[in-house]
Amino acid sequence: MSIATLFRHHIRSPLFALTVIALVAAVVVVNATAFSAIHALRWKALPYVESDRLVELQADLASFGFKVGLTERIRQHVADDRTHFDGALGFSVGSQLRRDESGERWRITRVSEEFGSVLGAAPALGRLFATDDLREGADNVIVLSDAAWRSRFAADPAIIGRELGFPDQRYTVIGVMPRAFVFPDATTDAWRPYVMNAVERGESESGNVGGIDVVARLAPGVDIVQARERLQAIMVADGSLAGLFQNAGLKAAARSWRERFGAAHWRALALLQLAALVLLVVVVANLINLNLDRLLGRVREFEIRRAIGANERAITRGIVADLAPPVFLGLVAGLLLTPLGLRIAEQHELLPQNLPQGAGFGVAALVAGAIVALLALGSGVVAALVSRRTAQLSVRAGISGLGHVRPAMIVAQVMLTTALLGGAGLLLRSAVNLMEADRGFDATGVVLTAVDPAGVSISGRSYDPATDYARYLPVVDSLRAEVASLPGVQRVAIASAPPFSQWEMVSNFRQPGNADSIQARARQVGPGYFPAMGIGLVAGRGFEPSDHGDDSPVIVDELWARRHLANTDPLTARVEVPIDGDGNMRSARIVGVVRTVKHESLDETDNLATVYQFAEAPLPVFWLVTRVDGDAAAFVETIRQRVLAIAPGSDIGVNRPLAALVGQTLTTQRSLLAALGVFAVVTLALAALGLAVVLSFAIRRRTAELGVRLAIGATPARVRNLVLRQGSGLILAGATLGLVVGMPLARLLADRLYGIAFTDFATWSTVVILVAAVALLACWLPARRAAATDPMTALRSE
Amino acid sequence: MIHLDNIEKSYALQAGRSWVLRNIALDIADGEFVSIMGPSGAGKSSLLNVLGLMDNDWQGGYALDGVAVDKLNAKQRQSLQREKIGFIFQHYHLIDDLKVWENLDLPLQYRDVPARERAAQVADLLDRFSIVGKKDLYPNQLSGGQQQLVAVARAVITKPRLLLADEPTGALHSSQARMIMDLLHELHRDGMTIVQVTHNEDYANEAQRIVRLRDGWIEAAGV
Repeated sequence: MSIATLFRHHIRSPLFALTVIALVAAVVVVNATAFSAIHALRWKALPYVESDRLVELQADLASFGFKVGLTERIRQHVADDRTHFDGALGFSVGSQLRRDESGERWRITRVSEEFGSVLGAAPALGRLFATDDLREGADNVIVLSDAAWRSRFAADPAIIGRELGFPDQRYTVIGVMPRAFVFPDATTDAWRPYVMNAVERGESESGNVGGIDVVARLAPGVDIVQARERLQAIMVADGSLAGLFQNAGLKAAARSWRERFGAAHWRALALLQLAALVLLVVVVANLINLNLDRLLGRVREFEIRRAIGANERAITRGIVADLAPPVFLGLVAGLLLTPLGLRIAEQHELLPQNLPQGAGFGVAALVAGAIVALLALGSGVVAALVSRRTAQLSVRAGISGLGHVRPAMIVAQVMLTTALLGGAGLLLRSAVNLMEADRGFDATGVVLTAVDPAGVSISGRSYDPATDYARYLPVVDSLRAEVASLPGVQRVAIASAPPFSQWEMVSNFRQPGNADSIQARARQVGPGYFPAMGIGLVAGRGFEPSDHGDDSPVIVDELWARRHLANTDPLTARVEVPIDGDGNMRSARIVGVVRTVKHESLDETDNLATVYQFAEAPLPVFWLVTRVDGDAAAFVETIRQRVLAIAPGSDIGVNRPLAALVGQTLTTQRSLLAALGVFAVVTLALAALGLAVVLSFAIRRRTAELGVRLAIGATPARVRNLVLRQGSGLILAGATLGLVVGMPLARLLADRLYGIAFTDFATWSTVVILVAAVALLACWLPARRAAATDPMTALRSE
Repeated sequence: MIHLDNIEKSYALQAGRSWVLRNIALDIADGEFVSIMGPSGAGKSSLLNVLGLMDNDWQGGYALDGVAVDKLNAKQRQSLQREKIGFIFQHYHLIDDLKVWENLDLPLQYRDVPARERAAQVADLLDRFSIVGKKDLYPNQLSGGQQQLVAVARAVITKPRLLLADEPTGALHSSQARMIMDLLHELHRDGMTIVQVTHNEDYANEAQRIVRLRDGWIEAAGV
């Protein structure tokens, strides 16, 4: 059969072809997207030499439940250990974009010596940093990414030696990295030397981990476990971290460099791939049904072909060839849509954006598409095999008029739909629980702004607490007053680390008369902080301007009161608070107890209590907490401009509504819910469609039988109920199996569920009822048609 | 038993109408055995469908056992049909997925007969028709004659007042056909009113009278 003939067949019956194209395209784009994402995360080569030997080294603060980077001091020890490591690269990604003199925004990452040697990278133009470049005062050199060189300098071959000007510093371009090189990810536009300022040096020497991220290259024969053990030994041997070992449960952490980007997304993508495979199975089942319908209309044609010499293989080949054009078109359409699918996955944070290895269209998508296309063609083969036994369909072959294969496929579709909907239902209820969870504060109308009047965090200027605190304190007061005077602003307060700012500080406190240290979150806040944040006062009062001084009181949260002051009136109790980094403490009276708040995520458990200390200005970087009337987003730019008007040259970090920062922590969950939800609804629709088609087919084959039943006394209602019972049996079997299969699978979601167990009875029973209702509705039309059978016509046509 | 008064049935065509039954007037007494004959297209099966309340698209008067059928609504006709009429089809029309006894049981189910009573009636009929040994077989395991036997049994298990048979021997060879005709005679002797459509002159003559149709008209109503 020629290709023209094949296409002509489909032009004559376009509905079948269009349906196949649509189904195949949909399942190709979904599976190609999921598989491409997983391939990129797990297997796609990183743009570094022998990237599987690169490991990220971290400090695991086990008692606090999070990991941070190391110190430059520790990094140097690791780099010196040539037995276990072939170098250790430290880097600090600029948290904010910097504007150059022409207004272009840049994200600049500071990197230590060994930038090229650890990553195995050499510049395409110029050179990388030399030892001399890593001295304070000589570090005004910069290496550009290929993308920045091309987009901002038109790929000028004479770029080496040109200057790049920023308001506070000018840099000389010394090199350009090759195309496709990115580090640590694709958002970095340029690199400059990591040279510690005084503050950073002090923190490194005093063991304040987190100042620098570290990627090391394993020496030959060394694995990640050994690397972790070696880092642990280095940290133990270095006396600067002794306090963290004792108070924070410090442990060494090491993971492959690839996991830095994928760890948070892997589980979500695996679930997505599972859902995509479920959709694939359901679509293939529907394709088999569609093919069967089509083939049974060609029975006479096949008999003629057999009579003139065709064997079964030839007939099957013809059936598959007939199916090939729409499958091919569906495959092409699906692959063309795959880049869009990947972009959507990135936008919804199901896939990390800016992966070093990229997650574009590639071999993985082609493989996934080919598998789908083969299965779609395979549906034709299955249909061909089943249709050979059409004569037996009405004779004791499983369900009347259907045989065994079609009922089994319907049961499978209903089963998979139930399992998928169950998972989506659990996620939905979890999301609702999360949103309704008591977070301890009221985010409505609150803007958080990170202000750095000294320009330390982004512009890289210096700050000396001894001299600069007094200089910037009036600036902070002016800022607070000026922002408070803006129309629509209700309250303004100062804080060191408000909830969901992703800033954290933990200190050791003591109960009077007790030598044991108590780790708690340490917060420095000014007057009006609690009303500004909407944190309820349980007892006592908030801070007042007169609370500053050596005898400054503290405020604790409910968790502290519950754990440490259970039999005491908190307002008569005291807390010993640290006054310096040497372990010296002072006794402070508690003047208030406030609600416990969520700090990092809505589903966090109450692990650490919080102690609030009074601060006029937690410099060099502090947070403005602004409560406004109406939409917080409308005030963001106004606040930024007012801050810059009062303190020009300030670095402004995060400047966003608190509700958005809270919502950001739910992005992955929401995306997973949206994806699973869409899959579940589509699968439900396909299963219902499949059920309706299959029952219609069965009724067509049983027209004579139904006519006989009506002729010998069955009422139309009885005939309708007969068909409904047939469908109900399939639905019941499918839904039951869906529970049996779905609940264990839902265990994969257990760690993403909040306030609900994966076996939640209400959710699963609702899902079963919903699936049953939709499926029964799908049976209703065929059943009505059966009841309307004219016995006379039915018997005559037999 | 049956009184037909000017029964007419037609289809609309582009130019005029096509008449299937014309001015049919027929009386069949209670307990009578009547054959309906005629060439193909004479309207025999159509008349049988009217008599059997399978076809409601006709005009005229029809009284069945004193009930004016033309005055009934669809539900009432169905109820009357279930109560009074049994049907035998030329091609048996047994349900392939049901065993012999289940095929017999089915009409009783549709009349809400309790299970125990159904079992008893089915057992009686299997015994009467000498097909007890075949009760667990499926229709495709029986010969044509045996299938028609079962079909006759299914038609009479509800003890209808009127038995309609459309070519009951049409698909059978002579010995099987003879068996069926003997069975009909036996039922007739038991008092059943029987109307059969047949092409077979010999079998037609075994009835008490023959009604001959041609082109939708009754040519002769026999004696």
